[in-house]
Amino acid sequence: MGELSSKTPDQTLDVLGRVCPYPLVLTKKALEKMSSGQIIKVLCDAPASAEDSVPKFAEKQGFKFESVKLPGDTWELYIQKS
Amino acid sequence: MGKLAIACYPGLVGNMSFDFAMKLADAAADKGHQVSIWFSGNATGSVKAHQKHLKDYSTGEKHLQALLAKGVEICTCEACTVARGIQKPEGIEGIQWNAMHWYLAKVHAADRALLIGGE
Amino acid sequence: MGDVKVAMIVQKPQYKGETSRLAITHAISYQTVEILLEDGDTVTPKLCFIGEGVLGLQKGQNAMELYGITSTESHMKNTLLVDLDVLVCKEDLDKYGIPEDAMPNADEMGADKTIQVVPFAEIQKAMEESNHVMFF
Repeated sequence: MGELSSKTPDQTLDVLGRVCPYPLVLTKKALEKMSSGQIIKVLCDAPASAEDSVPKFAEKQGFKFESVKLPGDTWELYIQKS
Repeated sequence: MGKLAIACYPGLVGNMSFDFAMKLADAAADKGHQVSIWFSGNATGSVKAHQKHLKDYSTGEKHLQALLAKGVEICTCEACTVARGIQKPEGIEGIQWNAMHWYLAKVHAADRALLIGGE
Repeated sequence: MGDVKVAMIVQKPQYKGETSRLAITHAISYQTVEILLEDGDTVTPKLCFIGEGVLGLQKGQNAMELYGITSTESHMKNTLLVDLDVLVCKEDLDKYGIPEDAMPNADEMGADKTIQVVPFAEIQKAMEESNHVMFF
């Protein structure tokens, strides 16, 4: 387990079944309301979002990011707001 | 030369709008313009590989491969494509898979942005 | 390159095909295009509904319950939540007998924006002020 995924997230966002642009848009909206240092866990099954959009967004914002791939093209994405 | 961003929404069969979009992209590429094509909606059905080319139907794969060879960038909307039961390994090689903001980014850079068709 | 303005004009009705729904979600993706642009570059859409495009925007939809898909109403609420400018042609609403207060809002979701019902002249102005115009 990574550093972020081993901690209890402050918020879990379920975007399973949602496709672009919603996974990233909803993640952004949730993060806007969170405080610095808090961790959000995003449940996502859209590859373009999980493997590209969301990690790119986190990197651009300077947020810590971890991804845990689960069976069946599902991901747990962990983002820590800086 | 200019940058042209084309969004193509119509299905491959029974609608000449798809053919028109491909011809337009081809003509623009021949003139030396930088062309990007975004497939969304029913147009994403055209990215499945191993299509049979018949005289009585719109031709997708052959034209797409010719456009790719000319340096045209083609990207399909992942969500629309998988919704139609086409998975990435089944797609035509060289065609990108991405989300809607791919097209908006091309629009940002384009001299002209077009949206063709859609049922 | 800065901001690029895009007028997205929706003429096709909701639910008949998916084109009008795609217009809405493409507009919403202005929120995520930043990951592919240089810092400071933006795309600013104006989402405009004219003609038959004003059909099917009314509140009280049950698409999820009846068809298992996200309703147009829900997509429209999301446009307001992400601060999109949404213009609906007043003349066309009147033509179809749709009252202005049938338009959904997203107040309960904390949205600051509301759908603006405007004369077509405002939509024409949006087109003229845009770098690109797309018809859905």
